Amino acid sequence: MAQFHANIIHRADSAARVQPVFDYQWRAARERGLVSTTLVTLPALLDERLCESIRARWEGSRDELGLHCHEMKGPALTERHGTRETALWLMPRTTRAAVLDDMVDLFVRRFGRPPAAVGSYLLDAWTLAYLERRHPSVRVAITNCFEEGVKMFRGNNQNWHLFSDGGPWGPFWPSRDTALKPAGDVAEAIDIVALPHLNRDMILALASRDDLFASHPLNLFRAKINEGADSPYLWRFLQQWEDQAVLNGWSYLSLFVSSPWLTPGHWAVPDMAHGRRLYEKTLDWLVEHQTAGRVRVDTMSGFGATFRAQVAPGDAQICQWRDELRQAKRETIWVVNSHYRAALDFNVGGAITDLRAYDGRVDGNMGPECPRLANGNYPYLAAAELRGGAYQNGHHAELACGDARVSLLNRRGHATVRNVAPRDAAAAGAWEIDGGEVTWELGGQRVVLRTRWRVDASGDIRVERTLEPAADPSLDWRLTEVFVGSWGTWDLPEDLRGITLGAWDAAGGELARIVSAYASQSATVAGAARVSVAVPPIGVTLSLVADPAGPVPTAGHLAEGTLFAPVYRLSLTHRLTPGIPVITWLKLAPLTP
Amino acid sequence: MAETRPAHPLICPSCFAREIDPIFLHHDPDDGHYYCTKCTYVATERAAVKAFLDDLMRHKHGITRDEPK
Repeated sequence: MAQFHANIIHRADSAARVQPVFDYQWRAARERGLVSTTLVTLPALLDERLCESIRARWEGSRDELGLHCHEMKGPALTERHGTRETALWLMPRTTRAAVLDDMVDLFVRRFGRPPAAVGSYLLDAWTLAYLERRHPSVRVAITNCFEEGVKMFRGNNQNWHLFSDGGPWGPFWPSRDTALKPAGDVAEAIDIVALPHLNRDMILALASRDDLFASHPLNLFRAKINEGADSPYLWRFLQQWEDQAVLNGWSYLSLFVSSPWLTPGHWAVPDMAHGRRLYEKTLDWLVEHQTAGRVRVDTMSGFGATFRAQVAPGDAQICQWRDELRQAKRETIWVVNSHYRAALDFNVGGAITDLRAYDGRVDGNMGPECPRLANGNYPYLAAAELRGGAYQNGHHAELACGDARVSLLNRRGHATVRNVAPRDAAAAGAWEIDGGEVTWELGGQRVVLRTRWRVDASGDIRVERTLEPAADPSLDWRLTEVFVGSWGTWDLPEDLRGITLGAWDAAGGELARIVSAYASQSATVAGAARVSVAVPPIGVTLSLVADPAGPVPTAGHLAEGTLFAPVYRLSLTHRLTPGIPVITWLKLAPLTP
Repeated sequence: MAETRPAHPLICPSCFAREIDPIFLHHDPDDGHYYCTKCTYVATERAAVKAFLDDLMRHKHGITRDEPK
């Protein structure tokens, strides 16, 4: 049965002015019968009196205590550990290890047992593997802030150096190789359940800053989408997270508001009476839903144990999200598995507008020893929001009739998602996304085209497009599947030299090859059944492959990027017969030497 | 064909406010609304024009002698 889970998480800070607020939060949850998890920071662990009061409240309760690796500042760091690096995940590894050892040691001394839950904004694979090895009591950790990266950096006036674009939005098994990639199997998985810092608005995560639109009621004041002490958007947002359980068999919500956000005088909340009231209303929403059996509020460890029992490394997750901010038609569908993360944007006809290909297992470790330094973003193959929009980055298609041509990006659509392999039958997850019937006018004709995608735990996305049988079969109908790509972790272009484009016939014979050199090379070849791009910097290949059971496409096209238009383009053109589906596979694989 | 390009030269007021170069709103023939393919802006034609003109006004804001004393 589909189950919606929730965590209520608090952070115990040492600052005197926020300690009463932390009391208020704990009381607010407990008076409502809601269990919560309190994560204690290093400065708080050094405050004996504070820890005594935390211990007094915690003992005998169902609540959980854990560690939080934020608020790393002051003498706790500079004198004890000799660093001014306030982000744990960016500290030199020897310092990072010493800080974690220190925190666990203090935690045991204060509370009599080692922590099972750890929180941070970001934790890389090295840190998680260190915790797994050195502190095996840790079973669950907050490891990433979904899509807090480039757009948030710009929005924060280039002043918040947290980069975690490109990872999963929900709980997952982190890969031993690179923590934002979900592990494919048990051997690859770090034995710590990874949780998101917050749930995000899954459309605004692409179109805007998603820190403002998250499971954090006080940030809604920052976004100015509250109405006094209420925010209708929040209730719609929470409802959508409950709805995700239908598609996945489970869904997860993290309500994590740190005490400074509820402290009078916070810059983003003009009237804290309203702020606290909205926070309490959110707790009331959870009480109401828990009473009705619609949500299970648990501790971090409690949810982690449930996740371990229900989700295996290698499973896929899907999220179908409506535009709840404007309550308009826009829809985005996200899919993540151990091979890729894709966003299908139905505002542009279901185009894949963001694609992270994980098979290259790009090292995402951070810190002064690592080439990436503070950049934890997992690289993209396509990111329309960062690189010129859906026409310039992503997968889409064009429909043509004679000389008339139309891009399928030009109509917004609606998707219906169907679970085609219920999790009790095939736990990895598989879904059909039906884009429905879309009417087009071109070449003096009015025709209907239907697109269906199939996604699962593999690296293959099946795309099926069918021109309705009523279309005039004597006309020259053509369908071109297009992938326009790049690579990078920012909105600035990276070097495309060495990226190789190729075309092959159905028997595997090479028809064309282009090694990118900014030389305006392109090729159009007849009879191509597969066109590919190999991207060495991120270790992956992407291919558009005609279904072997179908007709061979009429042409394949390859074009390298130029310096002023630094995107490569590959496409397959099929002849369309009304009523006969054309199936194309978008395949992602590791780049082999 | 109308559907091969934005149906109406309306600039997205939300993108304009963020100083992103003209993003023309697309027209949805199913409901007659205009929507942006970059951000989440969606509106009727009249609302879109009004929002755009309102945002143009921000260039004119500032301290003036006409401000109420």
